[in-house]
Amino acid sequence: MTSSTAERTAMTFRTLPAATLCAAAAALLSALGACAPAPRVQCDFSPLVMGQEVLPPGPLMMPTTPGTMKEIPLNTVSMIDPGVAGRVMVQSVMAGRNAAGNLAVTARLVNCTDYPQQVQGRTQFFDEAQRSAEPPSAWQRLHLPPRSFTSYNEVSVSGPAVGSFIIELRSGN
Amino acid sequence: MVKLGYGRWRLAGLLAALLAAGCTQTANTCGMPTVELDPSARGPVGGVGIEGQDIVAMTDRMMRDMLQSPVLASAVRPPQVIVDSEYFYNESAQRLNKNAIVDRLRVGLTNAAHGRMTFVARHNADMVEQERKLKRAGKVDVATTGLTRAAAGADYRLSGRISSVDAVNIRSGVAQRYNQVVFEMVDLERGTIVWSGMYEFSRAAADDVVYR
Repeated sequence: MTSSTAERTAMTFRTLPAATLCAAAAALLSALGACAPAPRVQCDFSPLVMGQEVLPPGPLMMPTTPGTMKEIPLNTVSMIDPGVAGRVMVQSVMAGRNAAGNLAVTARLVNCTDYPQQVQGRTQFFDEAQRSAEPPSAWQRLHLPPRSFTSYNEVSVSGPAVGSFIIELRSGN
Repeated sequence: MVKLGYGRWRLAGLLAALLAAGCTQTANTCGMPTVELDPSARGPVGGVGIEGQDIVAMTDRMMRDMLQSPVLASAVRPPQVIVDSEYFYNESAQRLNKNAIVDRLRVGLTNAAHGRMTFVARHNADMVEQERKLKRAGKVDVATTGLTRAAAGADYRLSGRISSVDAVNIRSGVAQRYNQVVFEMVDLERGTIVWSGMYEFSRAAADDVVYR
């Protein structure tokens, strides 16, 4: 750019009204924002809402009187606080026996929001007859930074007597 | 001085009587009725220190963790352990009954261990010694489980420390505290640590409470 061209450009900017310059700057910033990469963690809750009535495969806890309540799937996570359901998603649930013969469970949780979240989790362990094998574990507080993963871990203490479990999650905010 | 007429005296007397009646009929109107609380959840009074729900959470966590330890819970011969507050130190800024923590831990362990560990009641050593003397003096019979040469010794003993780091914003009055509770099981022969666990949390509040 020659010096005369630069002077002409500077003159043009000087003669433009301030409001026009501000609008142009805002548009430029907006365009730059649109180019920024989207967060890696993106959640879509719609399949969960649409598939609410479909029970996952696996054992179910049945009511004593049929029809009085919905079957509760075992070996899954139960969101007992509706406030958590739209903000935190369960990415996976795993369980296995450790060296001591106890059942170690893990649920990987994702904070789907742009804000820090706190949730509390506990686990109820059942025997083969779906009786409580031991008292439920104490509530464990988990801190999830925005768009991050964390794992909830718990382990039973009743050895091979434990056959199934339910992880319960509630808001910790 | 303002003189009150007869009618005004009567009105004042009536108001005083109503006030007195009101006070006697409704006691503690501004108080809060007793409510039952879940010990594992925060109650209506909460601050930045260690509270009931923390004791429930930390002892459950330590109990479960200890029972996964091969040294403590999977030994061929169940180890004899002492879980008391003798070597569990409170160095935090908070007044706290340490026994509330170690007692709950010991009870949880005793119930869940199912013979995988043997618990030595060293906190009741005086009581045991007194009964042993009475039996050997012939003042009481030997009961049903027989006599032993000595009271039980221990392989491992609980030690630990409660620490805190405090910060207060003098302008806003907001107090923040980091609380750390460390648990360790110490080999009483070799002096090594065979298991350790930690519970930590941080809280901030503008209206702190008094812990007693």
